[in-house]
This record gives sequence, C-alpha cells and structure tokens, in this order.
Amino acid sequence: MKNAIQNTARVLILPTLFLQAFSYLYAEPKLTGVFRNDTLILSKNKTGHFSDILENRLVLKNNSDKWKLYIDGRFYLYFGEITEQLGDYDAELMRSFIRYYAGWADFTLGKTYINLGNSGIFNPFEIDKTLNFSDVSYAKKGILAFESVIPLGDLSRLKAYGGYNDTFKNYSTGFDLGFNIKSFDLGLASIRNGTNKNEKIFIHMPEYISESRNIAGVYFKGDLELGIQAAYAHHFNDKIKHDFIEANFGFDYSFFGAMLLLNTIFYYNENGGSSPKNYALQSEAYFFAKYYNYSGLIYAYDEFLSFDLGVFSNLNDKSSIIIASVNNTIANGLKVTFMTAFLTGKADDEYSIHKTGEYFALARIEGRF
Amino acid sequence: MKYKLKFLGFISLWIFSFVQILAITPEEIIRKVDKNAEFNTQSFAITMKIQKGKRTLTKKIEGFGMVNGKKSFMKFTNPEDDGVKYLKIEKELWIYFPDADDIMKISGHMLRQGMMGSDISYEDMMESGEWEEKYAARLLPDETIGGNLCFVIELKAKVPDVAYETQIMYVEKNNFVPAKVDMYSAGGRLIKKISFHDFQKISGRTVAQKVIIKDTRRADSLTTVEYGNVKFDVKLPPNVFTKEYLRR
Repeated sequence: MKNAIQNTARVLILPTLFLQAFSYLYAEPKLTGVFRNDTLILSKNKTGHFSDILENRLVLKNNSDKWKLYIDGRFYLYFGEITEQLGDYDAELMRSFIRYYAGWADFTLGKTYINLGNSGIFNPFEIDKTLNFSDVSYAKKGILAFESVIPLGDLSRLKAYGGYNDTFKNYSTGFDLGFNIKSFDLGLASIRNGTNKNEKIFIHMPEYISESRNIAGVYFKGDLELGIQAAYAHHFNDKIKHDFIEANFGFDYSFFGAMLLLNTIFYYNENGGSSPKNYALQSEAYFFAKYYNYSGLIYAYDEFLSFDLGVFSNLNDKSSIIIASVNNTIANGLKVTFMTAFLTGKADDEYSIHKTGEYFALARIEGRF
Repeated sequence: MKYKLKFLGFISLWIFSFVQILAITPEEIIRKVDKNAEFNTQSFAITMKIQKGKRTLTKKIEGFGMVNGKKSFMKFTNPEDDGVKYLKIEKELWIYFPDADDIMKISGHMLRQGMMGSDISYEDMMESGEWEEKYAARLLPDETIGGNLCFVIELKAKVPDVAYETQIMYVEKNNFVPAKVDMYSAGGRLIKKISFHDFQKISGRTVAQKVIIKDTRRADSLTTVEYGNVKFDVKLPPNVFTKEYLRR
C-alpha cells in the first residue's frame, strides 16, 4: 500500500509538468519579482550577533480563461552567524501548480498551498503550523497535491485535496465544506495525515510520530459589530484514541475610520505542556504549551507610514515576545521596515531571555517589481 | 403676430422650467442622482494615485459591478500588487492574496479602512447610489462649484449601517450629478471631501471620469481616481461574484 502511494506520487509529477508546459504555450506569461533583505542583530548574553538574509523571489504567472499556471521560486543568500544553521544559500520552490477551471469545479495539480478553515494565526486546520515571528503573513511552502474546489453557491464550496510530502513517504488528505450565513463564513473541516513510523510528520514539523492521525472540527468567522472568529478541532488516531482538542477564539475591531486596528486571538492545545518542565514540541499543534494569546495593534498613520505592535504570550509560563515595527512605503513597490523584539521570560520559560536572547532588531527592505 | 406667439411660447416654457426647478424637492433631486448612478452591470478600469506631499503611489485596478455596486469584484494589475483581488457582496468583503493563494474574509468594520492605504475606503469605492433609501434630504441655499450652479442638499442617515452620518452633496443643476460631497462623522466632524470631474455621457448616464478624495484626518494627502473604459450593461464573466473566481 505504501509503495503504491509513493508510486502514485511519482506518476503525478509527469502530468503536472506536462500541463504546466501546455499552459505556458497557450497564454500570455507574466513575470514579477520581489527582493527582500533582512539585516538582523540579536543580543544574547549582552553580546551582539549579526546575520543577514537576502531573498530573491521570481513569480511566473500565466492566466487564460480555462487555465492558470503559477510558479514561485525563491533563492536565499545568508551572511553572518545564521550561516552556521542554514549554510550560505538555499533555494525553495514554494509553488508550481496548474489550475483548470471546468465551470462546475476548479482543479489544481502541482506544488500548491493547501489551507482549510479560517486563514491566519493559530488555525487548527493549517497543515503547516510553523510561524515566522518577523512576518506572520509570510507565505507558506506548498505541497505536491491534487485539489478540487466545487462551488455550492456564490459563497459556499466543497474543497477536497490529497497530497504528499517532499519525500513522498507521508500523505495528507482532507476536505472543507464551507458556507456563508448572515455575514458569517462557517464550515466543517477534516484532515487525515498518513505517516510511517520514524518518518517526519507531514510537511515541516521536526517531530516524529508513529501512527496516522486525523483532525475533524468546525470553524467560523463573521461580524457582530466587531469581527469574531473561532475554530474547534478534535485530533485522534484510527482507533479514536489518543485524542485531544485544539481550538482558538479571537476578535478584532478598528477605530478612527479603521486607522487603528486591534485584534486578539486565544489558542488552546489540550496536549500542550502546562509548565516549562513538561514542554515538548507539539507535532500536530502550535508551539509547546496549552494556552497562548496573540494580540496585535496596527496604526496606519497615512498611506505610507504604519506602526505595528504584536505580542505573543505563552499564558502558562506568562512569558511573551513583544514585537514593535515601523513600516514606511518609500515609493511604488519599495518598503522599509524597522522592527525590534523583546522577550520577557526567564529561566526555562518559552520566551526566555536566557534561551533566545534579550532582544533583536531587524531592518528590512523589500522591493516588488 | 407669429413672432409674438413664438416669443410668448418660449417665455412660458422658460417660466415653466424655472418654476419646475424652483419647486423641485430634495427627494426628487437625490432620486435623479440615484437614477443616473443606477446600473445593472458595469465594467471599469481605474488608475488610483495616492499622494502624500511629493510622494505618489500608483495602483491600477480592473473590475466589475452589479446592481448599483451591491456586488463588486476588483483585481489589481500594477506590478507590486498584481493579482490581489477583492470581492464585495453587500457588506462583506473577501481579499485574495496571490502569494499565499488564499482567500481571507475581512471584518465588516475594516470596510472603513483606506483601500490599499488610500484616502478612499472600501465602502466609498464599492458603494454607489441609493441615497434616497439611506438618507433623509434637506435643501440648503444654492452654491456655485467649478462654475456650475448647484443644489446643496444635506443628507442625514435614516438607516443605521451607513458609512457617514451626515453628507452635504452639491448637485449640478444642469445634469443632476454630484459635483462634490462632504462627509461628516456622527459628531459633526468633516471626515472626507470628494469632488467629481471630467463628466462624460456613457450609455445615457453622466459619469465622472476623475474623482478626487481628501481624507481630512490624513495630513497633506490626496487620492485621485481616474476611470477608464467604463461600460454599463455589459455581459459579465460567469460566476465573477463568487469566492472561487478570486482564485483565478
């Protein structure tokens, strides 16, 4: 069975490449790009540590009435101390897919980002539960998958997918049945992550698990004067054992003509540790502990200048990482960001100055063309 | 005698028209404004210039509208935002981010936010007409705007879910289109000034080709929206006002 799955995955690559070539020939290609340079200074034990990440991104798009081709390739150059962990350079194919519009459904084949439930932080139905603290909206890597979306109305749809991880040894499949009722998006979602013993769990998590796992639950996002969202997911194995709950609840509101935006989201992972002594990296959930909160404040001073303040808090050990940034758009497509982060935890706390460092500063310049 | 009759006829017609304009109620004026803004389907292209002092950002947008803007779809085509798409249905908004290939529902209160950092909010951009339904009108003394004599109408919200509590609309007397609208908060503070320019006749409607928006809360800033290729009663792409169309 496992061999059959691996062979199927390999066989899928060929039609994907063929369809992508086909799409390229039958529509007008469009090439866009992004360069981004992050200069980081980390203070740990009162010593400065310097790193620099230069990211170059090229996106090739090709759209027609029936087809869409999308390829997103990224090349990273590393300088300073970060090379000890990541080497001198890296390349990543984030997306490479073709989408076919059949009228009654859309079909996507290739390396594509799959996400069920409400997009955003602490989503239990997110397949890739890693988080980039310096940019929470940073795009996540795709997986090799076949996805279909069948509209059941203007704002309702059934999304289903099946895919493989980079080594083709694990698979993931799932569905999301979404509706819109009275200004609320709501739905049911389910995921099955099939895995082999001693293999990395699906996608990026470093943790190892020994059995296939399932997730099923519900979610919603809507308006009750303030924006409100929640999700509830139940994790279990094939014998409906070793189960636990993962959930979130959040709301947002804006002031002064939406120039000031406040948002907060609480997260619960039943399997998480209740204190630093029993923290363990959660392979199926975010971070280590049971309870978290993320609160953010964005103030858009004008069209060019904005201020962000974000606080990630581990509510079990009361440690936080506080991130403040200033963003300035200099010209069309050119933006600079200055960011600084402080940690409040001590000793073995998750956001501990002893483990991670006292603070870090980041200068980012990003150009889109 | 023949000339006298013609003259009398002309004078009578002029007096009749004059009396008619004098007798017009504010409700009738905004009804005419609404009538001009009515459409079933619409397609458009927009160039939006966001100015702050000497700095300017330019956004290019293509889009479709339906039933006076109750449904609208917009796609950014300038290189920096290429592929970002908006779908608005009534008071709900979804944004498609091409980097993530994902759709995000935006909370209703965020409709008041400046679109892509501009002075124009999602609400301003995507809503049109239906003044009579949403506002109670009162006629104020006439004023001249850009050389055109205008009715001045005070509009007070009569339904709860409108973006601005009070608006002062300056309606050109010769064609019943707004030349300028000042928008006020519930506390009576002037929030925005919108002026309309370069009118053209398109499919029987008088349509401004250039709109200038000034958000008074933002110092030294101005947004200019230039319309191009505006068409009414067009055949829209199938399923354009659906979430799935955003992913195209």
